[in-house]
Amino acid sequence: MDTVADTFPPAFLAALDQLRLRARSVPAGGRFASQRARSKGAGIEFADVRPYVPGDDLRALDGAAWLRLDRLFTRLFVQEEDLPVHILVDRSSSLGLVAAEDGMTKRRAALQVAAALAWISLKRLDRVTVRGFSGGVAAPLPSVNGPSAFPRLLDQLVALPDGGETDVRGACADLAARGGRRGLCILVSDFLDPRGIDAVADGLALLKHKTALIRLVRPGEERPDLRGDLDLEDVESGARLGVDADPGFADRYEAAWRAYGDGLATVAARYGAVLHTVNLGTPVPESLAGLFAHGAFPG
Amino acid sequence: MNWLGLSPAALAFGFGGAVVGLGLLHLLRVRPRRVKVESLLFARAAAPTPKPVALFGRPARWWAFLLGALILALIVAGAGDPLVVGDGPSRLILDAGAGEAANTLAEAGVGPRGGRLAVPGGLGARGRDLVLATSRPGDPDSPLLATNASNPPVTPIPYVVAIADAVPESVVMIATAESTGTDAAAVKVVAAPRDAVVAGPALLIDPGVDPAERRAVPTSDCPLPLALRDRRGKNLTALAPLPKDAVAWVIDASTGAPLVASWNTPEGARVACVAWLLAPLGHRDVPILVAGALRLLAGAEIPTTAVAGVPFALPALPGATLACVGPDSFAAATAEGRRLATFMKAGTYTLEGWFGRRTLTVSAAPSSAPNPPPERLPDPWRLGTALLVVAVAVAGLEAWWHHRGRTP
Repeated sequence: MDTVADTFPPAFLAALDQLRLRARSVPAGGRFASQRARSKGAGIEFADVRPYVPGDDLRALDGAAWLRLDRLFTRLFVQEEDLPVHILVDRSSSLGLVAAEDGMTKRRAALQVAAALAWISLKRLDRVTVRGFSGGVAAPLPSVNGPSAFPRLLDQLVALPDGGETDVRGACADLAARGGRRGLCILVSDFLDPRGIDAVADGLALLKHKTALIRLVRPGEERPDLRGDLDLEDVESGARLGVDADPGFADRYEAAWRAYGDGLATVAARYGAVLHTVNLGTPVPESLAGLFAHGAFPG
Repeated sequence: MNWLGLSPAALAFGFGGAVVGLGLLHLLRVRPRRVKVESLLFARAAAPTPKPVALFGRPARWWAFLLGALILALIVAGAGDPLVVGDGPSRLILDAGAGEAANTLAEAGVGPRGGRLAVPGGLGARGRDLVLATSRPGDPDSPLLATNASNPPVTPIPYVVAIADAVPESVVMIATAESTGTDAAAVKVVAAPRDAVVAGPALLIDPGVDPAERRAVPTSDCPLPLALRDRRGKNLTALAPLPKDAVAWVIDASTGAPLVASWNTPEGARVACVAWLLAPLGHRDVPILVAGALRLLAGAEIPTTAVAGVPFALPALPGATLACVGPDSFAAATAEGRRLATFMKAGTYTLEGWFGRRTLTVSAAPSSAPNPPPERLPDPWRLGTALLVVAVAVAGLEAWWHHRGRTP
């Protein structure tokens, strides 16, 4: 079992702050899941003025308006709330099967993605809830708030149980059943659900949150080295498939792989979700930078 | 191929070897390589669509097909256990001294002993070296050539058959009396020489006026008189009277009366045959013998279903190869104790065939003559095991090749 030091090496942790800076550089208004309360009250950002009524905070009186108009006005500010961030991390068996050349597995990359996004959210004082999911949906980790909870979160991430089949719909249904405020849901997975794209679509349909799909892909995954008579075994379900991998097999496999990615993008667009691909050939912080470049994530 | 030459032990050994070989083939069978994958989604979509099986379609992979055919051919050939025979016997010594049949033949005008050598059943002391013998009663498929247990039964056959093919007149056969030889039981009868040739003109069997007499014109010299010693019917008619120059082909040995004879007339040669000899069912082996004799002349089977009064022609094919008496005829001819002896001209034959070039000396010696030193025959090479080993090796190579993902 990987340790925290193995999963989150110092170089990765050092890159998180730089990643957060890149996330904060996104211009206002272009963010995907900015969270503001509808009510106006105590805050920093000015929102509006209204006529003074007895009982208003005297500190909020607008002196300039009183001098100019000889009437009392009360300044109103935007009341900001924390953003519930739900990070669903795929823990199925397929994520640990094959490692990239540098030893990075999808499983480790998924945890790094979850940690990076959680760190950014915690720095924004958002409430972060992480839960692993596979065939049997794991219970969520305790919600954490504030940067000081980050080390504890890393320990909990590493300790998440793994194994089983990818079950996107089950994970979404479990999250939807728990209710709570509307927030941001981040699905970190390879999305190789045995039930196909329809399972992903069904899951997204259940969510009321803004959703981001982080798809993990491995270099060369689209064109595996499969030749000859093969007995393929699904590492998750144990299902078998006899295949005669002729010379055209690799081309057809790649075409199917790309079609699956296109289908995933279509489903994400249909439900207003953001799909971002993290390639294991690139360090996770660097790969996640693209997520913020287009304002897909609140920095 | 030598299916019959296997002893029980060799057969059991071969069977055991086949079981072991099949076990090895089972272990070495081509098995698909198992690969764990993250998902079957894409492989399922990329798997080629199974094509409908076309029984006579073109094989999808010629190399795989040819390799499979090669393995199958090696297994079949190995199971057949082919023999590579070295130098065979160089001499055939025919017993000229067990004389009953030979005497009979001499009396029948065959000629002096040794001119045509009879090989009756009384092998006597010569049995150890004789490779040419007679059939015995009770051997329904009785082949004519024989050998004893000290020689592979297959060894001399090709030579005699080759002699019969090359010099057809050298090998003929005829029914003789039952042997009284004491060693007859030790003789193992093997396949008969199949061919003998007598060239002659067309033979017309004329039913004539008398239904008891059938005439054949023209005729040729009788090459092989027949002697019937055990005629079943005692009151059967014979040909009489006959011209003085008539040559009896078939003689009732009990009475000396001719049953088949030929003679020359100003209109041509004629053959007369008593009708009862031509009866298909009444006399069992007798018509067969007559038919055999006529076939020697006419080159065709006598139509035993011919209706009396309707002439029929038997075309003679000069130089044609004719069967003397088939295996079925042997059964009938020997059922009553007769033998079909083989006659072979003494001499030196140079043979060429699949066995190579051989010089075979055929001679005769009385039973009382001392045995010559036995010929030492080289052991034949059996290739069955080697072929099976090659088959297993090829199958293993193919399996290994396949496991490397380089299916031919």
